[in-house]
Amino acid sequence: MTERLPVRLARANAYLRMAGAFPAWVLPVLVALAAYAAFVVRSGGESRDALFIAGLLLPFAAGTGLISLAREGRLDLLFGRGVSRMEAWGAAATRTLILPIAVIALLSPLCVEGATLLTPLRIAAALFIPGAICFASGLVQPRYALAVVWFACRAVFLVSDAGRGVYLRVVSPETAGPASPSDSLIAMFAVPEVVMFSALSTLTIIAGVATAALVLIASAMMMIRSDFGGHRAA
Amino acid sequence: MSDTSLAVRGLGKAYGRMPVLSEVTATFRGGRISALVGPNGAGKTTLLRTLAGLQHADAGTIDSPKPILYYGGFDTLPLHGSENDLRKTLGLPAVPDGKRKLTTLSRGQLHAVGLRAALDLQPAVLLLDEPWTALEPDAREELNQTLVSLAAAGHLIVCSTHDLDEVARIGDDILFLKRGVPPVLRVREEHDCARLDRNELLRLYRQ
Repeated sequence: MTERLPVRLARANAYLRMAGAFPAWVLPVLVALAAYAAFVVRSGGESRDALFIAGLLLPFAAGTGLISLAREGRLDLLFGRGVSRMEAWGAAATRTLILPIAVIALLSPLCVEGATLLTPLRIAAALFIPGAICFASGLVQPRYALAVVWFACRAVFLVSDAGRGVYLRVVSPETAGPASPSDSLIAMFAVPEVVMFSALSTLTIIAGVATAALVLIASAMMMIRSDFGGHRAA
Repeated sequence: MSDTSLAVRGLGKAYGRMPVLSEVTATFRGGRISALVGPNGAGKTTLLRTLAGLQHADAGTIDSPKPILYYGGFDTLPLHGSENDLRKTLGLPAVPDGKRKLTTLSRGQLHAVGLRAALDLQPAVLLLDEPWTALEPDAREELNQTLVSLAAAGHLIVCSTHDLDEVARIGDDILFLKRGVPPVLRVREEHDCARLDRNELLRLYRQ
């Protein structure tokens, strides 16, 4: 039953899809967004809004409920086939987080006028920060909970005077005044697209990405250490 | 494969403050069908899932080959697709009657689907949780024949069950689990018989 890693990962991916770990709406929505972006760019315009919508949807798409599925025993056959917990986690992270971010980031220069070499990296960071955190929390049910909370916080942040002030200080310090480091960090987690503005320092972006990466690593540890007691213990 | 063995020493497991398994020591061997028998709540499922590495033991050691296949019933199958979709993800060939959606199957049919996949994978170590439950008589017979032939080929098989008749028919070893009592693995040869005797099993169960 020993198979090469790519084969095991492919099996894990197909099995997890059957088990319901991957929301069915994600792929059609991403394809529709890509088609829309291609249409706009071909018409001579700029399709930042397609990137923006993709960025809003990614945290929702990253919720897999993987640990909850394993606790219910729904991954028993997959593990019995020789796929390890880390491989199942890796397949889920690749499918819902790494691959969409890579594709969107690589296509982003086509959507943004005046894109530089840093544009894909900044877009990847903007997607990774909320995506990784929501992926980690979405390993257990309710898998969309943190994405909903994040979306609500984001809305409150953008409509409140205080939040709006922070946002303006981060994106246009020349008119609203300089942003403090805490302003930058708060804005980056609430409204990650601020990383697209050059006013946000690279160090702040690295701090945000590192924090999200640590959360992701913690989720992998949680996957390894969790007890999968089956449907009776779920 | 008949030299495959699964050795457990001093295994303990608790849910919070409630101990479920304590001091479980046994060696299951390849080429034999071992049965786990005990009242509800005795820890049969917990022991099997812990042996499979799905749960972590609080105490003791488990010495076993990897991977171990555990199959626990119809409600552990994935929710979407057909039997053949499931078999494809597991690297198994399609079956003629495998095109129906899993959501349209009855509990018994689902159980048979999962059981068929688990058996067709032919793992070196196969742990089955109440495999005879919800099976039709013909399916039971087929399951017994498959288990016996797998054991003859050297596979290590452990089944938890309440069904002493099936244990008497095909079991080689039996582990009685009871709360608070360290279980002892009894092997058929100790009873000096070709098969385990049902009345003897019932007597041991009631002890």
